[in-house]
Amino acid sequence: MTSSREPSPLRGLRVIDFGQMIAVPLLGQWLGRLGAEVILVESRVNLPSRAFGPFANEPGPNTSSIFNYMNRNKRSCTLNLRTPKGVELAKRLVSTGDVVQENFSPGVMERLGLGYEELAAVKPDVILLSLSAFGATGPWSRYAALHSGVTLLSGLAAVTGYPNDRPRMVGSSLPDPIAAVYGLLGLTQALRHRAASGQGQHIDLSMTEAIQALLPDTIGECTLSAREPERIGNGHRRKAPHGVYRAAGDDEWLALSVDGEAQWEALKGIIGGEGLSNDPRFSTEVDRRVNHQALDEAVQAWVKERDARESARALQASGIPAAPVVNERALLADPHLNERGFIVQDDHPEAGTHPMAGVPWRFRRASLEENRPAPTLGRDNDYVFRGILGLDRQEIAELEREQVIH
Amino acid sequence: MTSGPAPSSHYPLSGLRVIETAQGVAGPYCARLLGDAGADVVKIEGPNGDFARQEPPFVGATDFSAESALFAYLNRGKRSIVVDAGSAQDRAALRELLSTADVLIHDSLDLSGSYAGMTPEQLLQDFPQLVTVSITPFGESGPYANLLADDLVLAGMGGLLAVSPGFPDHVISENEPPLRANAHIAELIGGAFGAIGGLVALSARDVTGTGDYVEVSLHESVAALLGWNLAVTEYGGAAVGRYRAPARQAPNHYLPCADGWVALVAFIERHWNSLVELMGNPEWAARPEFATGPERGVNWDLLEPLLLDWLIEQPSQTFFEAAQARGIPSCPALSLSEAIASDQAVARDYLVSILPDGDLGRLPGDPFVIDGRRRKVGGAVPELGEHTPDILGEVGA
Repeated sequence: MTSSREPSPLRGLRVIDFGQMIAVPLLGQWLGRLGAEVILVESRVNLPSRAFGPFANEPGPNTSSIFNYMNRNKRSCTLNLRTPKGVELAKRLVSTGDVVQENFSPGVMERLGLGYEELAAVKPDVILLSLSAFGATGPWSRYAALHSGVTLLSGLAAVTGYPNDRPRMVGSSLPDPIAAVYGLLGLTQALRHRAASGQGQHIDLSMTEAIQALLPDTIGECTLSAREPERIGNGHRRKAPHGVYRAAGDDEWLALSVDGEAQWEALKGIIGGEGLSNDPRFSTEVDRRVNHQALDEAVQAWVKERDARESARALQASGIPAAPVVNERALLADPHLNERGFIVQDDHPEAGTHPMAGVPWRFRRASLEENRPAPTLGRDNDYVFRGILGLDRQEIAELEREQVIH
Repeated sequence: MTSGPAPSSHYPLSGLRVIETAQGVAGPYCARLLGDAGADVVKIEGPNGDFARQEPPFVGATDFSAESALFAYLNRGKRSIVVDAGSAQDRAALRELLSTADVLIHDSLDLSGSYAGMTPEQLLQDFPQLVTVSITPFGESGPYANLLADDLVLAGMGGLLAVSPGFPDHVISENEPPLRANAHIAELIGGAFGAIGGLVALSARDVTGTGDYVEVSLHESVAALLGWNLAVTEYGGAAVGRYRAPARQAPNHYLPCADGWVALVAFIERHWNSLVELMGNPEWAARPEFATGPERGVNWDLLEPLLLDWLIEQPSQTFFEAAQARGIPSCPALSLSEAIASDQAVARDYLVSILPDGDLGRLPGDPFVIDGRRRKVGGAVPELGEHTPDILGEVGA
């Protein structure tokens, strides 16, 4: 085993982050933990990402939960892009960087004078990630949507939920973090491309297409059969039982999934009952899937009498995948996630110390950057404008008066 | 948009070799993503093959050529070699193969059975160039490391089930269970996080000259998607869960229309004013209780029936076009067939044929448009062991 740790894998990379709200800011946070220097460009003119509560202590730009979660491991500079000088400084900053990322509505960067051509003119091998609801091309490119629109128009809602019911939406504003994953995948590929060819690139990522990347089986079925895939609730197209069952206590649930004969035999051993063993409706996996409603009732009757944790322990001990459904509070306190260092303690100067989610990678040779709290608004103006761009104090003061650095 | 293949340099991993010894969804998806970026992916299977070969739905002209659509999605463009972990000769061939490889992707907690006793440390020592990506349900350490989980259980343990159905949807009653999205989210996203880990380790290799061992946990992959809810819970003190949250601003709601369901989003004043105009400027819209987004939120019980009176008459497509023409970010629920055949989907040409020689079915292709072009991805789905002789020949075994 190597004795000393290497630096974080993206050390030396500079990312200029024009991200708004969730998707692009979140992927910037991941880039920061992987070692990139991520510089958030924002302006007092309009601070949508810092305006979202709930807030720690008093509402204000430095106490927004969403902002402080998404923008850890970053620097913040304030630059008013509605002024020509602000745009000019932004381009100078880009010329010192490697990656630019943005999720304005398509066309906004071009209108600001920060389109790919303009950026490539000052930084020929720039990598630009543009992330939008439907992509930068096509008849819907200028359509407006939040995560709800992406969920509904991608088809994810259509396949989720119960038979003979309406399309359903799942939580966590899912299209945003999913798009962040694919945005990061695009950027890390683009870095390999640049290393191999010396060339930058413009990545146009549609949140809708990122969501559809998760739907191969239902899209495959739909195109094959020209039929809408049936909504199956918490069921599975092959396995049964496969569901979420109410356990003893207040709003306690058990997720349980049985795959194959060995697990089925084990389940019968635990939840018992002669009926289950001898019932011809449950003889084979196909039978169990076809008759899953009756089987679900039998499983539910057993689960609801018992504590979810106890049930999960017994089922796991017999080789059956099962676990209690974990809510937000329990997730933050989860012993496994804490022992592995996934949950980090975020120590913010104005918002206090809070546990937060981290990143899903561990490297044996390289390091991850320590979690660092989100920057207060404009905290790194001096570093960016004096340190990187070489302006002197007098120039900076003048630009502040003109509300360019603002 | 421009069609045709992107320049070959948009396949930045061409010339690199990826060895995959994984089954199911996550590991194979990780390898396929690297294959889409140009790598030569060698899929190592046991004599019985990857169990995902048996996952429905199936495609193919005849029963004999039936292919799992999911397996095709995860394994197109790879080469398959069958290796018997119990055979000394096969283990020697595997070592030869690893010495030619840039990336190894595996999904076993205990490598000793499948890799001639190679621990992570030995892999780093014996194959210094190699980037290994390990993708397991809970990672290789910690109290849950040996627990069993599939995609459903991971969604439960990673927190996604507890917040689903989720905003602007919500449970109808407290008897409604947490709901799984009908997609392999934990496994596919874990695979994508694995590919990212492999790519950044390759970038680090340019600097350090050595590979690395990257560990990805599917459990953490799900929890990483949930961070937003966790921060809101932690700062605000109350978990939102899958219940109807009090609307901070309105309308930002999931509501029925004449022929389906829509997300009605018009809480910003500009959007609200446009919506009022679209509704024909009804008198009630001028009431002071509805003057601002937060007030509309507070008075949602008053507002909802008034909005529904109008909305329930609107066909979803008409509503969608009228809203978007006014810049209101409101959208209808589409069926899956509508979603993949929409004008936008057709214009962006995202889906690719499942099988290269037929149009029986289509699957999502490369999710990126690079420099205005969609990179061509795909390739044949390998039969079990189809390339065993070729690959053994290449390593001289």
